[in-house]
Amino acid sequence: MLIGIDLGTTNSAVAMWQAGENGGEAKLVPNALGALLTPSAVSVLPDGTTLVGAAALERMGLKDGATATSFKRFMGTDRKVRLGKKEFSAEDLSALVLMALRDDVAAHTGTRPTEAVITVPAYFNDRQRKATRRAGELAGLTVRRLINEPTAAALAFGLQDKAEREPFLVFDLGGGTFDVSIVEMFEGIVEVRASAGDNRLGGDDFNTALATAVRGRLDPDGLLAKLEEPRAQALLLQAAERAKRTLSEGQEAEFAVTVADQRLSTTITTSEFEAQAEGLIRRLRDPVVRALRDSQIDAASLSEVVLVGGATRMPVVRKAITRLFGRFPNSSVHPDHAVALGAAIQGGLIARDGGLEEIRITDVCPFTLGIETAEHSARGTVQQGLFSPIIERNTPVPVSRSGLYSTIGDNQKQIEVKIYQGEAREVSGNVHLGQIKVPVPPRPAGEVSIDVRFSYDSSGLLEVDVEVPLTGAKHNLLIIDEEDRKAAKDLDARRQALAALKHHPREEAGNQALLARAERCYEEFLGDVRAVIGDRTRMFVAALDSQDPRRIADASVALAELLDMLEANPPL
Amino acid sequence: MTPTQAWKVLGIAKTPDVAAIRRAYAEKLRAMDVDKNVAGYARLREARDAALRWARMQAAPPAQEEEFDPFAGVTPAEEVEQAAPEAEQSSWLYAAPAVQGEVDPSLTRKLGEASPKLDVTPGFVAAQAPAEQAIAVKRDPFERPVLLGLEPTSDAVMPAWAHEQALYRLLLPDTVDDDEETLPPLEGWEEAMALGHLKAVLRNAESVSVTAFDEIDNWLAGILARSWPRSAPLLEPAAALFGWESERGQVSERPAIAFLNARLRGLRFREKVQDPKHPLHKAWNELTTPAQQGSRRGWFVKRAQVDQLLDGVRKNFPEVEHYFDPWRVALWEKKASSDVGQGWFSSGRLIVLAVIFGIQILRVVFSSNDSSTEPPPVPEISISQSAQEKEIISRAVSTVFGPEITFDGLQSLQPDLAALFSANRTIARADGSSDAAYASKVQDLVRERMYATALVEKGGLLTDVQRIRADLLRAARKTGADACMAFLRNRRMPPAVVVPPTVLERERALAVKMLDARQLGPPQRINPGTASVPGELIGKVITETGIPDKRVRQAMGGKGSDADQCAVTIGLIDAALGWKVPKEREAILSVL
Repeated sequence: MLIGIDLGTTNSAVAMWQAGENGGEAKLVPNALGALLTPSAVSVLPDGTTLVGAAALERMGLKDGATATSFKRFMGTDRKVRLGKKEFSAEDLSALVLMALRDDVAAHTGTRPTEAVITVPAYFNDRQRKATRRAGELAGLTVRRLINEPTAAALAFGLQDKAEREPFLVFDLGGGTFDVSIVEMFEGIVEVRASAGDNRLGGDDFNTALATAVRGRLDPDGLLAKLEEPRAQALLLQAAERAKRTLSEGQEAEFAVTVADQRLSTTITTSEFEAQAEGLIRRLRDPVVRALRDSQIDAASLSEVVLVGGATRMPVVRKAITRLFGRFPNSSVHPDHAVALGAAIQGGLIARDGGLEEIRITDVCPFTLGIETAEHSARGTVQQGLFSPIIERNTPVPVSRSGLYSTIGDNQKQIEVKIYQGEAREVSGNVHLGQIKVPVPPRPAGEVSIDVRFSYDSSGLLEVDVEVPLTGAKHNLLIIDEEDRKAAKDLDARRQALAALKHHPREEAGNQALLARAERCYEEFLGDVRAVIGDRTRMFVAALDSQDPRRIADASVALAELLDMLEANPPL
Repeated sequence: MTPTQAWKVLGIAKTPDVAAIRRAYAEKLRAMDVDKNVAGYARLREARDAALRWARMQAAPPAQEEEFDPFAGVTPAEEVEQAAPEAEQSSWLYAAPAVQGEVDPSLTRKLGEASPKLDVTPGFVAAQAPAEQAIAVKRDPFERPVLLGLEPTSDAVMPAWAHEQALYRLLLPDTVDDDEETLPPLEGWEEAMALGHLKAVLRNAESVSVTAFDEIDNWLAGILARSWPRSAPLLEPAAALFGWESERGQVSERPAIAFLNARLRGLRFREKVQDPKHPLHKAWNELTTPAQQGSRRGWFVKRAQVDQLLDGVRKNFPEVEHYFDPWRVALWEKKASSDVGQGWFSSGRLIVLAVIFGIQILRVVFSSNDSSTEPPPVPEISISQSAQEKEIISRAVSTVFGPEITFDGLQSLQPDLAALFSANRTIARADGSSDAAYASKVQDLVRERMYATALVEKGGLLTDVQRIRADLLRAARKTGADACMAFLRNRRMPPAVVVPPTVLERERALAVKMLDARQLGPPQRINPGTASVPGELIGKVITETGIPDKRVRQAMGGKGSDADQCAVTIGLIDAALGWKVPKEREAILSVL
């Protein structure tokens, strides 16, 4: 079975294509808690058991929380997080989330899915894409294709009514990444005209801005500084997220954390938040301008501006969008669901499921690809490390392009073709993808040339062919970088290591989430309220121990109602 | 791809129907596995794009395709008023004109058909670029002011376009038409006004849609670059709003932005170095202090720091050298010398070579002083000369010009040159230099003037002077590569060099000719010139000199051994003298 997964910074979702009488449709699969979104959070309990989703998120601010969130932001890097006794890379953590989603589908349909389409931000570079692919493999899924998030969203948007659409713009501001794609739809063709983005900008940054802004006045006595910094940050960011949500509906919000049994609280207004977010808002414009410039489309001739991603709910962001485009955006797709639904549609297309055969998607390669060159500089010296583009950004894929290069030194015996991705004129600012050494016959400088051909296919695979016309020798390289080769070798070992982790039983996910929530509330509230929460929690734990389903159900309802009430109307 | 081929690829008959073209494209696309037929896919796309282009052209009658006459400069306010009735048809206007051209955009302001009315709703003169097929400018169904939440501000008095015009006029005043000329810096009140208008322009940019924002970005970058350095005080705020620096070093960096980014870094460096705590602060002060005749180097300034500053500036922020005083730089760059009239070439000679697609660009930068800097004043020395002294001077005159020219003759033809002869004699006597040394010094000065005049006059004179110069270099080379370089760099012929009499004879004849035409006046300022040297010419130099390609390039870039540089310069002059294209010949000879 083939599923579509939106592996997000904040939330993830899984969907599948269901063929039906009138063409079929993509449907989201609920998780064990009955929710359609699963927070991208992983937590390790003191006994080494791993938790994924809402339960993990609840544990974030706890003393021994050992919870990782937003790990998508360091996908494709060597960074590791320590949770309990083990260290995890972003790939490992993503794999754990993917496993949970896979199990949700298995529980829902009774069949274990084996293949997946996973979405990535359009502006993810090759390294980040490979890491995502590996995470899928680690989770025991064959990744049939990675598709760009805005493209997936466009697919979901376009299939709502299957109407012809003049170019529209998908504005995808997620938890940690920002993408802009310009898409056109006609005759069942979904054509991406250009994509641009910022893979370091998202809703998280708004939380951080908010937390930084209030920290001083929230905590004049420096109580938070006495905590370990990651935990202080976790508490602040949680509070910021709550405040941000409140601000989406009103003019002011309370920003509160409980530290060392003391409740710190302050009020923040919309205008204050807007002032804080100004720098971030400004960064939204750049990718929009770039995408419009690259596709030579005027903002005024866009038929729609489609919002995707949870962060587009913020009024401050909507206001900025309205200003950027001089019109109100379209919010007819669900900002959190569209990407997963699009992935499922893509899955249906790959599996050639009924009702979908007429759709074709054509995408672009959002980065420039090229090789390193050296040149005689204006001062007569040789300048090395220059980037010579072969495939320009926003070229429709698949594409095959070549460039002619020649030797720079007399009797040069080989040419080292180093392949890079990026927009900087000097390769040091770009991402290195691989290299290939090509032997050439020794001749005076400039007399030997090589033809470097880049072929980039629609699933994002780059193939490099180098030909030496003088000798007729041909060389070929499929871009698999060092890291990738190493990773492939120990992929099995890592898969086993992940499988060997004690996973919390899925059937107990609801109880576990409730327990984690009760723990968080216990730390947040003070005095009598805290005592009441403690009592109810103990009753719930006792019920769990009894293993009597009815008793468990009653206790859980009682506890959940209490927490709902307390959180809706904090008694302070 | 021609339209005919396009229709064939699409498999349909020629049609202006966009939907039909798309349908044909979609059918072909669906029938194809793009990953297995990459070339076919590229062809299909190309065909589709060509067909759509053609269809669009058919749809738009030529009248509407017509480009608006770009206004040269700025539309005067009265004209705007007159054009107002047309504005009824549309409420939008193009807030900013497009930048045309590349490195130095010739900027025009396009107001388009929709001229603004002064009574447009205040504060949001909105901008909209022409939609491709737009006939009438679209009316936005939403009221922008409501969306923007803008309150009427002082903009109510002056709409955005007026600020743009005012800014344009301040930066590029009508009085200066000639692009060659450097604009004077903004005066205090002008700067304040320009900043005020800039603020309004930036505020407007922030409130308009992205396309208009992009246009304003391009327009502003264009005029700031064009009016540089006049626009210096405006650069920081503009760069901050448009994020120009984030484009730095990118493949797609726009030329105007690249130009401004380089200057922005220079400005910042200048600001930093003005802090007394900066390690190079003293060196900076030294080099920016104007020097005069007889100035000496600063007492408490370390040589190493001055060198570091000069090297660093030339390498990283070349444009910052404008702030240095060329005379002061000369004092540090060369060994202090009491030569009178020596200052002219003082900031040395820099050969810059760029290799781009086999075309070499040579650039000789003479002192890059401001236009305000005049050639050094000729000292008025009124010492009564003894008869013996007069005799020595006369001999020097005839060494340089031949027997038919006397000192009196020189005095009547070119008095300042005669004064130079006397002045140098006074110095020579004070120094105790030999008569021969004096004669060779004045000979050098006359050679320098001949050369400088030839660079300005160009034509046959340039050819003549360069031909002799090549022979002089050849003579110097016989003594040694260092002698040749000394002549090349400092225009001083070392005493050991023996110039063949025939060459001297020709030189004298030319000198007399120039003197008769009064062409040996004080050298004028030479603007740095560039010339591109065709690959074939380089090839000639390589064959002539027998030096391999790589070393030739190095030598042209001012690198490599003295012998190479000397040989290559001579070879290049020779090759250029025999070059067939007059225009190129002249261009190359005037930078050598």
